[in-house]
Amino acid sequence: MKNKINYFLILLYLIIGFVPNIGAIDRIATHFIYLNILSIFSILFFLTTKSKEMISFGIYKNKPLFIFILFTLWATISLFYSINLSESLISLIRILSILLVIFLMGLHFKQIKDLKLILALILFPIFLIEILMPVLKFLQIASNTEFSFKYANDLKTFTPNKNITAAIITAHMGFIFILRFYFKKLEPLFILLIFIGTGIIVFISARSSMIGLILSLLLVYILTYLKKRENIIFLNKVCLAVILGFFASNLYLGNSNTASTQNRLTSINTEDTSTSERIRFYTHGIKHILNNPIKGVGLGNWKTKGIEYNKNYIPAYVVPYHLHNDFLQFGTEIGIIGMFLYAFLFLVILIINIKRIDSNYYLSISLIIAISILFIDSNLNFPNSRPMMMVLLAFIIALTELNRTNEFEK
Amino acid sequence: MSLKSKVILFISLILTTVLGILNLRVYNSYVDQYQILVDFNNKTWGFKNFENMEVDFPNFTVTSMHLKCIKARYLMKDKKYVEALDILNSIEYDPLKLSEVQKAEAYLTTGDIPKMFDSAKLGFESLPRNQAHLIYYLKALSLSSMNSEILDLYIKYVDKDTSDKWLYFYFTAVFGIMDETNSDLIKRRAKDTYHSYKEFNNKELNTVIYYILYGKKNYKESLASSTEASEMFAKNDFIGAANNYKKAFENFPINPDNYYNNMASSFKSNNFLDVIETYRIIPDSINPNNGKFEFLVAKAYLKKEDSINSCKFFKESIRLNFKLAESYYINLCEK
Repeated sequence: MKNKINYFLILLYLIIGFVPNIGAIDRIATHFIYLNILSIFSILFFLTTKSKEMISFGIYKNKPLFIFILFTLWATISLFYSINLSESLISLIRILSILLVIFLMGLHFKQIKDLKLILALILFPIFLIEILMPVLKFLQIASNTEFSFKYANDLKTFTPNKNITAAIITAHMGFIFILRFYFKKLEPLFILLIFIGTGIIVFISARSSMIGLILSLLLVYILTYLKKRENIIFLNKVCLAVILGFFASNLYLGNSNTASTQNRLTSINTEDTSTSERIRFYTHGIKHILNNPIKGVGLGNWKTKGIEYNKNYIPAYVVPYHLHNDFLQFGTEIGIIGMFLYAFLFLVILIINIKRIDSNYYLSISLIIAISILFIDSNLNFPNSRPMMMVLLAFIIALTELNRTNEFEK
Repeated sequence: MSLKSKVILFISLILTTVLGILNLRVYNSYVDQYQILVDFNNKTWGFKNFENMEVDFPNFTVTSMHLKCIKARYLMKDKKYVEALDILNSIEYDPLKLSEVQKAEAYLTTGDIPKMFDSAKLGFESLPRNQAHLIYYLKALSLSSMNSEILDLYIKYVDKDTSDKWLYFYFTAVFGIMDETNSDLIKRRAKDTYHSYKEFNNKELNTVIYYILYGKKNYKESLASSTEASEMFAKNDFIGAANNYKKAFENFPINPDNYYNNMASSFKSNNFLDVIETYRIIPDSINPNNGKFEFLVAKAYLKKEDSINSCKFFKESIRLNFKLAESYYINLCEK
């Protein structure tokens, strides 16, 4: 019974993306309340069950969690110099909400310790739904008209933004590795899902996810070649499925189609509006950090401070309230120490999992792919502002801790 | 479970509850902001509960507008300018300077022009590309008779990134201050803008530029002549139509339609020489080069039994992709 509640609460955390706005202008407000409610239930559950776990020791040993706590503390200091305390407080309560999710999800995983059931009963069905929803939408569009870039946003389905949908699908694709370890007979199905998932990313035209997928596969290929060459066969199949996915979807779209990979990737130049905008945002961010390296403008305040830098590019009242790079944004808000602490979090997760390739190859590769994609997305978008993406980070941290402390692939 | 673990969980429980309450406050504001956004975009201002709306936590909307500005907007809609100014003056930090523009609007209504000028200037300098900020600054400059400052805005702010709407408001303002001393300068700038921003195809901007270049009276007369000519053409009064189309292009010489319609009317009234004469005076810059004009000229020459010139123009029309000219050319010129 105890474990069933653990599974159920983890499931509720992971389906956050499917929680609607419920009247709010931005669903992140609804999502944070949802997370707080789940966290209250989780804590009550832990308080009422008998457990031998020493929570305090767990915190010190879980390095990613410890770094996130340090990061939160550093961000808290910014309240003293923030240019708008109200915005800083709102951002801080959001970071604290995520911190609690990381902490509590870790405790749930610690009590379960059975990865197979989590993957089979929770992650795999979620992944299937995430893949199926855009596929069905795509088929609906393609049956009525020729699919092109202008329809890409319609494939966002379960999130408010196509880039978030693509990033979530891409990151979850990494978990196919550990699924394959537990369910070898289903390997053809997993390869097929990788193929379909790649096609969806091409149709969504999310360039950061395309780049993330290619770079993360390149990284795990090098790591597998160096550390676990005997497992390269499955990786080859995955790479082949990705290549075929790119090839088949582009063949369907045709070279002249605005959604084709060729057109989307070649449009990454300074003439492209979104690219030139990002370059401008990054230039402003770097300039601000260089002028204010220790004290930023205060947590959550770039959305207002950025107006001063962008004042010559605001014809209406549409303000670029994200810098489209979480690291630089934290740099502008809480200084370079905060920026490096956040970047260090990703590095530590990566290192822990690389170290565990020898013992838990499939789980480590899954986590390396997921964290790499989240890292690349953090450099090009703003996943930190989306609770759904931060729950993914919490999930990665919880699994990384399990990976560090357990032998799953004996 | 150890006491230490229980303490950590109890602290977490209290913290989560506090976070939940604070997040709920933000959520309630986000629900209000949904209605506010609808009002703001549609200018409906139907949000009933604005008196009680959250303005402190959060104090900015998701689109970075100060919520006190939003509340002030609802008050101003109800003509409560003094209350609105009280709220706007209490804002300490507003990088968009929406509050200054709203203050300018309120001061304009209450007739306090010096304060209106200060607020409008501050608002404009903070967001110079914004149309609303520009409008109030232009109004402030105009009310203060600062015509040279209005003219100087062109040098400071017009470049490739300037929006067509911004230019429309700017040229509307300068049209209002046109006199003998600045007329040439304004016309030169209007001409430059017309050539640079043609691709916007903004009717309002084009119209104000036409007013500046050809005069409001001439432009309106041209439109009236064109309408009258069209009615005459429908009644088969081709001579009257040709005369009115001529008046239309004389008053407003950059609309190619008036030239073409004049040529077509002249052709219908068998004044073939007029067709050719009108074609000669069309400025090269406005000829659409679609072969239609040349085809009509070729037919006029044909009627005048000048097959050499007729063939020359049919050939030119074919070169400009006017398909109808092909059969004429084959039958007349290749046999």
